[in-house]
Amino acid sequence: MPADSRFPNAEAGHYDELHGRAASSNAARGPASEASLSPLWKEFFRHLGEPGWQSLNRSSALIKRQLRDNGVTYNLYADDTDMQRPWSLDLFPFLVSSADWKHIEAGVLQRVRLLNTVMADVYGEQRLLKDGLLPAALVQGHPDYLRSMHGVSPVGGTYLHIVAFDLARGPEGHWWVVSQRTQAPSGLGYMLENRLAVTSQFPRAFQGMNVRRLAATYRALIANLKRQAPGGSDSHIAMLTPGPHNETYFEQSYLARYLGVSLVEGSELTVRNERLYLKTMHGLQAVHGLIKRVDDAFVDPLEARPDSRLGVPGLLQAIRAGNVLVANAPGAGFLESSALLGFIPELTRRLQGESLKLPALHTWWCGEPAALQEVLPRLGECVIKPTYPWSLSRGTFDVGVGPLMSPEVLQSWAQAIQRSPDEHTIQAYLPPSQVPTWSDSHHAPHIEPRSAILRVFAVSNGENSWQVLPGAMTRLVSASAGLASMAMGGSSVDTWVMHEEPPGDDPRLTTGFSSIAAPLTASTPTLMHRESQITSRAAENLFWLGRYTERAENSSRLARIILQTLHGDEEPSSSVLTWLGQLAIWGGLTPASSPSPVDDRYEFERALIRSLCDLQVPSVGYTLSNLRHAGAALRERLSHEHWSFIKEVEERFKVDCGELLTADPSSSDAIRALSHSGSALASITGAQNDRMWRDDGWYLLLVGRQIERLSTLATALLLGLNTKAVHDAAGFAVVLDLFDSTISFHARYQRSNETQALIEHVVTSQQNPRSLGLVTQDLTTRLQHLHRHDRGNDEVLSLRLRVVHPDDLPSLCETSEAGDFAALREYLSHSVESCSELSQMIGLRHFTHTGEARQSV
Amino acid sequence: MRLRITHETRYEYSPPVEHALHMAHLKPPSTRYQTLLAHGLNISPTPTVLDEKIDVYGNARSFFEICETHEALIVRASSLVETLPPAEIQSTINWEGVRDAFIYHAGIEWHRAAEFVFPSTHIHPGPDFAAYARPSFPPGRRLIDGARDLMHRIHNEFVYAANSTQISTPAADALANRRGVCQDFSHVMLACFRSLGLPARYVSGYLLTEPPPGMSRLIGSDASHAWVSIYLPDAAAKNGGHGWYDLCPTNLRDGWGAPGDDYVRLAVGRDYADISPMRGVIHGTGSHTMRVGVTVEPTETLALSD
Repeated sequence: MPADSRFPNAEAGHYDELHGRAASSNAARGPASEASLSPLWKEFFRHLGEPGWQSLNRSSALIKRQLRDNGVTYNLYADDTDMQRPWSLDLFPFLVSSADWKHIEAGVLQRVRLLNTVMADVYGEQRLLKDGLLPAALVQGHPDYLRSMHGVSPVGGTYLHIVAFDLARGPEGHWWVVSQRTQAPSGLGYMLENRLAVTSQFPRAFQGMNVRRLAATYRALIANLKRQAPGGSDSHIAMLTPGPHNETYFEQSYLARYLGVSLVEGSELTVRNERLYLKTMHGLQAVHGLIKRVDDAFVDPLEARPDSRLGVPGLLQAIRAGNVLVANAPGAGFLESSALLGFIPELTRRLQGESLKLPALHTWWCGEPAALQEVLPRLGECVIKPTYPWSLSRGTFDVGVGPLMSPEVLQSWAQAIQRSPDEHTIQAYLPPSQVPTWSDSHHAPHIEPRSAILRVFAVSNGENSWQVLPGAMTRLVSASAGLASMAMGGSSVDTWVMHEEPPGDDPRLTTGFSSIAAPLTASTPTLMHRESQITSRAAENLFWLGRYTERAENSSRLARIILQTLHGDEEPSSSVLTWLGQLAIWGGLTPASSPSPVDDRYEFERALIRSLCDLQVPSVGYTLSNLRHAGAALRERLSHEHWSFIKEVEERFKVDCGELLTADPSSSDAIRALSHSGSALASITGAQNDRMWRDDGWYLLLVGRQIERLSTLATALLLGLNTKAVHDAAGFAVVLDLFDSTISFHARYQRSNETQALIEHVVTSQQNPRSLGLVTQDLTTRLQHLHRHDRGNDEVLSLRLRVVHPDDLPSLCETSEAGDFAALREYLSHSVESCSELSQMIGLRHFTHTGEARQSV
Repeated sequence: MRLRITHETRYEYSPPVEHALHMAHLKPPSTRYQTLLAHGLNISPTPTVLDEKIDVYGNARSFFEICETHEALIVRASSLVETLPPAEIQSTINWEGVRDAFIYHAGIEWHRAAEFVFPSTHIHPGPDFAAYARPSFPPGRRLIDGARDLMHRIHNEFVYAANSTQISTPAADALANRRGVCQDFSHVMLACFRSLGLPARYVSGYLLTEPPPGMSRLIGSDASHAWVSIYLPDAAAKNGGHGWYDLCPTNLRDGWGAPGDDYVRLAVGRDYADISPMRGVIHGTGSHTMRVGVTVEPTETLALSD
């Protein structure tokens, strides 16, 4: 391909970023060539070089893979994790010169100062309303105006800590503000991820061009939040998320990890005595600051929407009491209205005595009759936006783009506007500048110019002081839409802001890009003090992850053993059949209504196979699906492999079972499926033993597993003794198999079938990891570790367990008046009981708050 | 008239509740036509936190938190209020004039009433309400006359039916069915005003009722009451901002600042949701029952209780 045709011109009417050319000079533009590139792009492609150009397709594919591997997603209001869509990122960055940035930075700072002042006024003195500078319709008439915040001054004095402005470069090269986000702006996390992915493809350009780094600004934000929060520099900051179903959950968890703050849902927080607390496995921990990603209407069901499950009851009272900093202060939603943009120039003059440095697109709020009259004849050149994001009384509407409308459509818009003028805001239509994007088609890969809108962030760094993050979350938009939203299927690009100075010798500026996405805490040891908090919810999920892992393993094993025994070469006695039937019902493998194998072996077997994947029966498939749910809720704590194992075993078993649901299911196919899930579960156990951080949460997981193991095996053995099945050769083999002890037993006792040997091996042995004695011992040790900080008046839970030693063997095997193995049976039923008590006590102590439903009255 | 009011709310929970947060609007203000002589708020069990603040509408609002396990919550507000009969009002402004005064232009004159033009939780202005209101507001009619006419029409055309509606019954249903209780009548009337661009607010309070002849007053047999207020800018201009005119469509009573001296105002807001007497979030899975008992009685004493 000749070099000249590599760099196509932007479409007519758009500023051309690649060539740095205004739309008005379109007529004069010559053939596209490398020589005509803007200085920044010329430098970019110089660093790329010819080999770099030739491997752009490969780079593009690498970016896609990296995003997929990192699990970067954007949910489309999914209620299922399968609905996640990979984040879309284009190869080339948006390049911003230092001169342009200086202009943007000054304009953004002026605007954020102004918005903070407007916020303070509207929730305080209301001078702006009284002087007629702001219409009441845009304040009290806005559904996000939060009356509970009236008269409240936020702790630290700053209302807005994170503000986003959407900017576009117009046809003549000037920058314009399109809209602003003040409630819970998204993008700070995606921006980091974009930076990491793109710079790894262009390391030479990134270093050679002296691009400004992002980390310091994130650090300044978090340091400032801590400083301003009531806990001082040691404040505990958390991020309030609407949960995994939210469209930007990925970036919330990414950002929370990067900033070193806890990511919590409303149900994990509680307000006591006008203070905010996180419910952790060791009790309530004070929270001093909250980065809020939940919309204000849902923030507190006591005062805002009573149907909200996302918020924290009493949060607004805690804010009023000055006990928690919330970024941003609730109630900032009204500042997002496009209608407000039209009032900003006059407000800036009156409040700051300045003229606006960075203009917004011309905006008319139709609730003002003069504005309405002025703009009605010009609808065809404008964009029509809803003044309010939602409405108490009627639905809102989608943006209308005048230039795309027929005269009839325009006419009906004009009528709608006149019917409810307050609800309509008109904005001049702006074709945003076009950036080069990479189209990686196999036949003819090429550069394609596309329109882009930058989301620029200002973050607070002191009381009434902000700094602008030198970068942007830039989105590509279809040329016609005139605005950008990821939900509408856009893509994004990284944004490089140039340093004013040429690169110097300062190693801090020229060190590798790899430090960009390292968590802030890693480079700032002072932020690392706080031990990571295990929330009650996480604790509960960890405990159940342990129990379900073990339960899945035990029930797979039990189902396989039952099927094998029914078809074994040793004909099972009726006592063995009775026992197996009891085990199947106890373990949830067959519905209680199905026939006992003593009466109808064939029907029993069919019921067992049919139940394997029936989610109405607590059999193997059901347990695997619970395991997956517990794992999904702990996604951030599990290694990539660990999570994949959990997903795969559940999915594979579902597929295997699908094949079993024929009229006459084959037991050998079922046995194969169960063996497979058994070995897959062993890898999960391996990941849990070997690849998890060993904090108290991990101990809780092990405790869960051992409680499950002890209670299952003790029950099985007890039933075996009661039915006398263990004395039968087939029953004997079943016990050994259940305890995963067949090989080790025969190595020790050859072909012995003495019951005493069996009991030694599965109850009192100190070497068998499944012997009840060893399980109890491990459980005791782990509980003691978990409760090492307990105070004197807390019950020592491990004392509820009875530990058996090898010395106890003779007494356990004794026959007394009460019958055979009375002592052993007593020990077994005591163990089963203490397991259920322990489970309950652990719940009460570590996750008592999670299950508590709340309701509005 | 001196009135003593006891407003008792009793929640019972099964199983017991461990933790609860509540907001209450139960303290009458002192206004031009009523003076709060004494007030007490008794809460059982004793709250860990009890905080009274003035809300955005000027009402006293109490926040309280209960941190102990409880099977029942009893909130008893006792108030002693001296009321005056409302004065005569002079207002000649026509309804279009009031509507236009709230349409924004740069430098618009500020009215505190401005926020009562907009939709709110229970008030969703729209064509149906506008159509119902229209006959009361022919061109050029005085707002006060139109408002009285609308009050008469609602009183005459709607059926007062106790227990026919719930707190959450939308005003649109009450309009369609022409029935409801005082709260519904008030919501319908508010939606009518706001559909025409006229500011109007919700008033909660109490009304002294006479026991049937020969019967003595039954304790707790009364209920809290609700009516509406419209804003008359010309009256406000001449009287230091006092421009609210009260209308009670349930009992066909109206007056400047209060429908009468047998009425006691408790709180004002955009609608019921802003000033519900009690609102709370409890932590617990069980069910609850709520009983409210209100007693309004004339008294000569200066004490809250006998």
